Amino acid sequence: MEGGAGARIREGDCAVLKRDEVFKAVSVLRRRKIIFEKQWFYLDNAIGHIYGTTFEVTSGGNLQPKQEVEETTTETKEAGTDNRNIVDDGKSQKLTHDDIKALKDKGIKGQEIVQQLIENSTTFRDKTEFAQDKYIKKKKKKYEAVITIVKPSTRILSTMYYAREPGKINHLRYDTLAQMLTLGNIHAGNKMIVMETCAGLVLGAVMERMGGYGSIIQMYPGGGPVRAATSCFGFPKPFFDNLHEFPLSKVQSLLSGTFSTETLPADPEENALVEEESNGLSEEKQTSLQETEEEPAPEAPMEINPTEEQDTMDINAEDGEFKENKEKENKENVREKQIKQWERRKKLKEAAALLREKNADGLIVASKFHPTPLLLSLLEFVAPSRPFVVYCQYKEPLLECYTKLRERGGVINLKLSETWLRNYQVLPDRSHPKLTMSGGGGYLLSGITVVLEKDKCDSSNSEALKMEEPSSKRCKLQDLPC
Amino acid sequence: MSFVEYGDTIKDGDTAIVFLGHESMFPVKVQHGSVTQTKYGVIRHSTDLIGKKYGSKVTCSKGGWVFILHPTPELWTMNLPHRTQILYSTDISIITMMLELKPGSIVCESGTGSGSLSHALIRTVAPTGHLYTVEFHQQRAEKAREEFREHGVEHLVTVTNQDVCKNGFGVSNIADAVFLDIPSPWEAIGHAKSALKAEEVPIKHVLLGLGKWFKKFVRINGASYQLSGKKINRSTFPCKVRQFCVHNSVFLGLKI
Repeated sequence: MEGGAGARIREGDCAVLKRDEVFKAVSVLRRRKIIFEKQWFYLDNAIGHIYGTTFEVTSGGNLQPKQEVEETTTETKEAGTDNRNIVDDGKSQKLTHDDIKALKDKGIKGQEIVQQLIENSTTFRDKTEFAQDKYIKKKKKKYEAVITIVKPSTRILSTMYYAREPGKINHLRYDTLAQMLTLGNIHAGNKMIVMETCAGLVLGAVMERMGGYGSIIQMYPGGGPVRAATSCFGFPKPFFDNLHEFPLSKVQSLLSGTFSTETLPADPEENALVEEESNGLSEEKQTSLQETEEEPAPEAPMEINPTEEQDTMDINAEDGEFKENKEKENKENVREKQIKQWERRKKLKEAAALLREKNADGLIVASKFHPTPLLLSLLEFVAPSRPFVVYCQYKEPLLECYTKLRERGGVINLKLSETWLRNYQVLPDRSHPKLTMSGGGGYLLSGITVVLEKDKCDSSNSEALKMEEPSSKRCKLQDLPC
Repeated sequence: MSFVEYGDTIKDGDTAIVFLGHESMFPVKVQHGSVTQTKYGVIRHSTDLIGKKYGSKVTCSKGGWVFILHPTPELWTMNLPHRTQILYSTDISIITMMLELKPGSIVCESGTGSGSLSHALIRTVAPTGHLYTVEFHQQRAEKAREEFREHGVEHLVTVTNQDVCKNGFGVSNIADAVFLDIPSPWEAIGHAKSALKAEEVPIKHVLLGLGKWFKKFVRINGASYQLSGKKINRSTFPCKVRQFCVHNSVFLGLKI
């Protein structure tokens, strides 16, 4: 376990910027301008600090570790009892917009500005203590440019993605993801099959819980797997040694025994880029979101190769010498391509061999595609007495899946569930719920595999009816008040 | 078999789960010569279980059948003998994610109770991590130790029989995360702090459960501020899972 090593911010890391409840993943690179929460700055000064350190943005866009200020709680504040005499006429603040701007330009720290605002507010002293706290908090939020740099983890990244780009992860809420990892008994040493179209977030979460032990076979649609989010986790290289991938298009041939590596899907890098842009719920918003926001971390792994190819193609053929070099480069490119293809074929064969053993320890599905065909085929690769979990943004496809699985047999303990989450504000004498999130986190279908019986004559047995799960079907129609 | 490593075939000494039907299962200690009674008849361990593959269907003496499943912390949670109120998988999932637990993590827990959460934590931190769990009830502590032994995970856990509020976790400057689910968690916060790794760990997590102590969190906030002086990040998440049959569970947490 990385103790000291992983705890400090290093150049090249993927870090997550945090301000209150807003997160953003960035690559830590020198002299790279970062825009976050209406602030721009460089991360250079952050390098070497421990993750979790809070910084202030100073003039020039540099980061300075924030000095800890002792909260003075012993001071007796002058405060009112209620707001009956406070009139909201917009005139209680004596400082004008220009005054505040002048203060900012002078380089005065946020804390100072907040102090000034308090002193120049006619109504501050009449507010109740709670209202004063709330006022200060609000002003601090606006004027104190405080940013924390945190180490990426499933918790941080799943919260970030759900808040910023839920479409990319099929609206998989972080608590639902937490349920999946537990229901699936994801742990070190497993041989997992993962099929997801959540930008690699689910894959990353599974990898984190496996700690580099065991193996994962990622099934992918199209030309290649998308692992944009996975690269944010910052896993050490050895974690990827046992990560395999296999195209869904080849699954049927593998199951029927006609699999061959001759016909491969098209170049994975080109297709992966396309996948990245049209992943999620393929809305216009998604691609424009990517373009307008600077998200170097998720994009970086995808961008490197195409630009290289771009360079080689842009070379002008005017000069004779240039032409010669270009021919050489072309030959090298062709050889490189051949080597790459050979390596990919080899990897594909390895993945196929792993799948053929039909002894995977679990299956996780979280995609935009209908889960039924995926499950029916992928369950064939899972050993008996192992859990599987399917996520779907909507309930209906999972109901269908449930029925089809019952018909197939070989699965027990099927459960369809939805997680309901509510955040609370916990402050002395002010604790109350903040908001409710339900129905927006997606649904899960989980179960356990058992030895699949080939002959179906048992189903006429009256005992078999006991093995059916009629009670849950009945309950589906009456949603018990929870 | 162990709770942290899958095995393929049922062996003498294993803990297996007998599945009779929806919401109907129980754990069984597999032993040569033993028999287990079920409503479908008798299961003879030597002939029906030992050597069979996990996930197999076993026909009982009266003709009905059951499935024999490999144990997991989740199945254990649903079937363990309750000595106390336990945490269910819904809350356990959130706790695991919020504490950022993974293989290699060192985690402290109190109270051990019936070992529901303990088994799940051990599974997550295996094979290189460790769970230090403290239980002030002597018999419960002993029972927990016995179960961890039977389940093949004793090398990953240390059970200490003492009062965490008075004597702490028995370790210091070692943990990545602490979980407290005791009557007066604020009394143990100081010990939680000393059990946690010092500065080098970026974020230290302490979670305090459960919904029934909601009102008392007010006091915890006061205590926390005094002890560390640092700005504390607070968020609380009750989490309910609606299964389209039953079950709700509520969870409340605090992150330091």
